[in-house]
Amino acid sequence: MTVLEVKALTTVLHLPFGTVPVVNNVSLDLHAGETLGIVGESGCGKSMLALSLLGLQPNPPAEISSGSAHFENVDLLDMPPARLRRIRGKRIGMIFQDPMAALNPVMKIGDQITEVLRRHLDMSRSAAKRRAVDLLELVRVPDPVRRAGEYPFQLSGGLRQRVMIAIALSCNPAVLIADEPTTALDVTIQRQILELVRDLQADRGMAVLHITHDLGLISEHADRVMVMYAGRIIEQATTVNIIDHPRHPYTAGLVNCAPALGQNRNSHLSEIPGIVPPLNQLPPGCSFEPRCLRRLARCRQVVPELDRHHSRHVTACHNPCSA
Amino acid sequence: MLIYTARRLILFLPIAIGIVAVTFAIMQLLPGDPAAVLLGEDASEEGVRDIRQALGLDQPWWIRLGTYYFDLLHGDMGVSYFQNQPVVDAIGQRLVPTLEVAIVALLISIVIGIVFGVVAAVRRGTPIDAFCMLFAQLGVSMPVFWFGILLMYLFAIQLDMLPSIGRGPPLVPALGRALMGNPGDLGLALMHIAMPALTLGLTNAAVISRLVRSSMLETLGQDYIRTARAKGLAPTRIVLVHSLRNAMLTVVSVMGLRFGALLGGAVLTESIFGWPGLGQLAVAAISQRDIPLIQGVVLTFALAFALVNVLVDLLYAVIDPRIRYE
Repeated sequence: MTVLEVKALTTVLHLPFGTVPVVNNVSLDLHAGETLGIVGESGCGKSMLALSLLGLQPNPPAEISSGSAHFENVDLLDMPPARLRRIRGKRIGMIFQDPMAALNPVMKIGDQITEVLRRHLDMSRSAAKRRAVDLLELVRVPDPVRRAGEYPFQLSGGLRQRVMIAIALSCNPAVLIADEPTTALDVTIQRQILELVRDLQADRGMAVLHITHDLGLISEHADRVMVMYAGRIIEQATTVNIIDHPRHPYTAGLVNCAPALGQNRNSHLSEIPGIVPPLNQLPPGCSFEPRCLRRLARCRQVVPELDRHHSRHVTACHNPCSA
Repeated sequence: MLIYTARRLILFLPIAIGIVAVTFAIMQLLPGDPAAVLLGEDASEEGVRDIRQALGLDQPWWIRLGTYYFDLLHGDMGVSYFQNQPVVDAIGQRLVPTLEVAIVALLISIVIGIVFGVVAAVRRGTPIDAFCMLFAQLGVSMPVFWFGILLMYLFAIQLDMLPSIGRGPPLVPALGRALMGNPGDLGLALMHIAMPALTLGLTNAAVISRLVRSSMLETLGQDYIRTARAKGLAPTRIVLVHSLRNAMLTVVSVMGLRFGALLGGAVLTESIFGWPGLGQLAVAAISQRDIPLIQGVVLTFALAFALVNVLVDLLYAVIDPRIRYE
């Protein structure tokens, strides 16, 4: 069952030198219970995509210029702000990259959870308080009663991210948007957080949109992966297909970049030559063309469309790897 | 919090001792001999010597400073040369009127400053923002004395609504009676305090509103505001609970410093509106070279300033748990 269907979403940035698309004609669908990974380098538009879905894009300079995002039969991009606020935090939860900065420093943990409960579920103060402690327990925060009375600066990064998850899940959302949830955390904590999300997701049949720059990380946790480059989706497939048979040269590059444990440390890590072009200097054809080792003459002029390779693998490339 | 409060209060002691010493030193460095001032221009050398002896001015400075400390501990600031009463009494009579104006002005400036600052920040880049900041710019650049005279011209002379000078019934007792159900003279008290408090309050509000605006703009861009929005909270709650409280950290710390400006402004304002407060007393004392009185007033101002800043430190800890738990 599709819970979220995004069609041709374009978000532009109004900058001093002109208006540039930061999310360019992106379509995706998210099914109940699945995890969809969105992978890309910093600046590829993946966070802006996530923020746009909830109308949280920083405005100015960002503005959604076209597209739709249907969730539970309504278009998130075309509804009065007051109605959208009834969905944010209630039906769609969101967690962010830096749990150090994402919690209000002068407000108790418990209060930051109860305010969502009281807002959306119309709970009494005491009921919300009890539920907040339950939620902290659910996200495996030790000693939840004491922690609820503490402030963010008294918690470690991992605990803070657990608190963020508790907030995001407090109203049993149908969708959880996780924007680089583990980037700021230690590797061991990363795994704990991702496992926590996976367990909670399984219990609730919740769909997760997981945004990250870490292809290795996402390969363990996502059912499907979308790769973004310079604002566009360039490849989308099941995780297995993306890792084992990447078709887009950029995806292939990302896969090859990941170092393997036990790899001879004298061997060179492969890299993708060049850098992501600035958004105001995108080439007229394929955005990846200047860095691509498989480019054709056509790549310079014609933007490749997403093309169906087989049922669940699409690629936007004129000269895809044959795997 | 208790430990923090205790530590702040203990720290106040050395500050107070330092303030007394500095005040004393400034008075010693003033040119002119108090004895000569007292006796006038055609005083005999002998007369001057007698007076110096009587006032203890012939003693070395460290003995005089020691005596000053000793007397202060006993609530004695000396006797005014010209007012024929102890300095402590003269200051005591004037302290309450000054506090009245300062506190009403502070309230005005906080309320207006925060409202304008928050509205300007939330409506950034709109005509509302421009209007608020124009007000702030005017307030910052207008001298207190000129603004006071403008108010007086408008409300006392042209509109004939408010008394131009003098103090009405004491505000606090009038307020107390009003709360007991007998408003009687509260109106009169408020009418008298309105212009001096507005003069001081509005100029101060201008500074505070600019500060609140920039501080709000900073907090509104923080990640936790994005979190609050992702939670689906109402905009008013986001602004007032999540943003303003964090923004107040910067504002509160500056407000303590602004209290100094308020006291300085009081000297001018009280002279304009004939308000019988410490400011007027200071002006009179200085023009008469009434050294014990000057010393007492300056000391009172300095101690009040230091005390207010201790209160600000405490308020800071109330707002920010990170300081409380240090």
